[in-house]
Amino acid sequence: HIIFFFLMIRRPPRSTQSRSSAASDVYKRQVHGEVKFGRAMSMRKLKVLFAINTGVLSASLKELETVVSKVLQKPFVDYTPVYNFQGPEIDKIKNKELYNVICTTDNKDVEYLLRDFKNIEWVHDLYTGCERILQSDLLRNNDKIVLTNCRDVSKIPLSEFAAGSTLYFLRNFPFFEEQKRKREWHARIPLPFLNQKHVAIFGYGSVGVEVGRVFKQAFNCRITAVKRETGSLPPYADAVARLDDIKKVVSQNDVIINCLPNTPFTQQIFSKEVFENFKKDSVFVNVGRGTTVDEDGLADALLRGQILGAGLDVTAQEPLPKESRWFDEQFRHKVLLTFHSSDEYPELLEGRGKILDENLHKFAKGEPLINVVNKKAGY
Amino acid sequence: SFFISIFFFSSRRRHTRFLPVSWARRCVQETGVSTGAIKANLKRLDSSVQNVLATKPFVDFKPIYEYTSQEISSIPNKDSYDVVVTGDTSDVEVILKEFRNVKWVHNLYAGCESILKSPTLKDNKEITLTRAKNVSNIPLAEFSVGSSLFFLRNFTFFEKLKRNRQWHARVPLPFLNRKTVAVFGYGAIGQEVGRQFKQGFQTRVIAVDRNTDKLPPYADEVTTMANIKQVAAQSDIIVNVLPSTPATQKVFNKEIFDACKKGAVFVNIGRGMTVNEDDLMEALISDKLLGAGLDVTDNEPINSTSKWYDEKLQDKILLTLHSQDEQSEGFEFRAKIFEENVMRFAKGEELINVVDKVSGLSLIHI
Repeated sequence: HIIFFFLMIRRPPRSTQSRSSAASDVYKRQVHGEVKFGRAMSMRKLKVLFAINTGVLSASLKELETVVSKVLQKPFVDYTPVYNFQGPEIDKIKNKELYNVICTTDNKDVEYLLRDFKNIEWVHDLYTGCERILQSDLLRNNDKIVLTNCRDVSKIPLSEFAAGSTLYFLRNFPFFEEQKRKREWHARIPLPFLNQKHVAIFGYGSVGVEVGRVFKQAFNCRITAVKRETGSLPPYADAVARLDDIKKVVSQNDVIINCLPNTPFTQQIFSKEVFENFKKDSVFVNVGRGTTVDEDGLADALLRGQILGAGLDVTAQEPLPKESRWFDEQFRHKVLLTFHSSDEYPELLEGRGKILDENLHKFAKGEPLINVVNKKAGY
Repeated sequence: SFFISIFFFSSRRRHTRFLPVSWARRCVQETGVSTGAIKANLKRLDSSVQNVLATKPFVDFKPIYEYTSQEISSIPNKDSYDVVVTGDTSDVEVILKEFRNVKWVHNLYAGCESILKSPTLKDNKEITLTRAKNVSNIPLAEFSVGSSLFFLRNFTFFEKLKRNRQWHARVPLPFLNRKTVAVFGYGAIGQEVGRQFKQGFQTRVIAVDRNTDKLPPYADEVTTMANIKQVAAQSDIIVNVLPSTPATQKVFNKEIFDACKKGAVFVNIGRGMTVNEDDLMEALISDKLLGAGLDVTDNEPINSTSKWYDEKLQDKILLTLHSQDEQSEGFEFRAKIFEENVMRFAKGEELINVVDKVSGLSLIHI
């Protein structure tokens, strides 16, 4: 019986490659900052390299550092903050082989870290974008390293920007702002509703689904979710379409919302040709990445009046230089620029901290992590 | 005459004579506006209504465009006319003085402020007044949401940067999600406003209305105007859909704006007279309120010398010049409502959208 009893106490299998997006009940039952061990053997000790590059440091990076440092203060976590990804600061670190986790930003220099720290099993990106971090060959090609990110954290403000900028153009706000500046009244002009319009959402992940929810529930829109591969009908969508059918999709929809990430497959997917197929007086919103858009094509479509207006939170170049065409007079009433800030909100850092917190517990207990990135797909 | 009476009583449909008063042309002349789009729209409304009337064999109708005594006196058998269909104009008084047997006046629009200035219409209990309803619920609600997001997402700030060709670092902005929205006047328009905010943005909705018998759709609570101050103190967004009545004149005043939450957004899709505009301007300039989306103002059209164009208010207001209810699909809808009542009137059935002449609002609350 004693032998049988000891055989029953086994370490639970660790599978970190599977996707799981729901917060676990087990996590919720954890007392914050303290671990209650179900069984003494089930919690791993984590040695975390917290790499934050001060070269790009801004006020918010410092705040991020403060929030993350707090989250990393756990009895089962031993962490080392570093501010450079190579050089004397890294060389000084002893027992590099004991480190199993890197917590960092979307930075391709993680390649250097992975060269020196050879036992890393999990890399956590504190942002959502993975376009730079996946430039690291060691990260991309090593199947034993799982990558997670902070998607989900900005879906609400981005969906509100999408709704706000769509209504901004449909309700003719740029025109009225101009009238106000000229101190001129103008007689009523009939305007189109957003209600029941056809809306296509490119990229139907956490942001896309939330955008779909807002447009469907508030405005009764007909939602087409556009993905790489069609499968079953996702939440709030009336139809699914393949990314390959982009030309057909844009010709049939009144509002096009781009949530696509920057991957090798999405470069300038909104090409000149695609813009030529947009419906007359359609609205284009970009909350994905500027690199997915051929800006010449977009500019032409706006100037010839084919597209009513474009709400651009992201642009091909960021920051925009003073000479950028988007600041020109001819786009004044046709483009809304929000300088990649539409995902920023007061509790954003807390939100990022929460995702890291959840994954630290899961990783230590050998449970599936949330927000796992498909390294081949790039998101 | 015995024969005629039998015919009259045995037939299920009354033979009615309609007088569509086409104020369209007059309206265009009065505002001095001559843009093609406006004329075209009013013409469409005109023809939609005439279409309804022309297709009914039991209807005789005569359109009039000017209300001159000449035009009116040229019409024979004035006493044979039962119905007047028109817009929201006090000139219906001129008509009703001459056409003394009119039993029903239909307003093709929803607002009845001007039409109820006609003493004959207001005081004569034999004349039923009906109006259009539900025509503008959706665009007005979309304007409420759109202007709330306009201010919350800081669009004026970004537009200013764009004009100066300036990039800017990220600035955290608040969500609309789960905020508290108060809707003053929870009729057809108010309920659509409540629906869009609740279903789209999961906000808490406080309905303020005369009728508090039961919790109306999409509202988390309902209360009366007696609690306006307490409601203002809890609200992140205030949408005013109140009509202009003796009870609602300047109800939004300094006392209320002082009670508001700092950073609240005020949207007016009701009537400008319900707001003390000097107090609103003060609340905006002092940054008490984040911004105001105003489709209606006390004086319309707004004069170029108006205080609304003050430099200090430029970034804090959105003026949409009473345009947000106008829509391309409205004419057919308005004509349909009218048609519904034409059929009911002819059959002697109860009409829809009957107006309570005292309040200027619906007789039966939905």
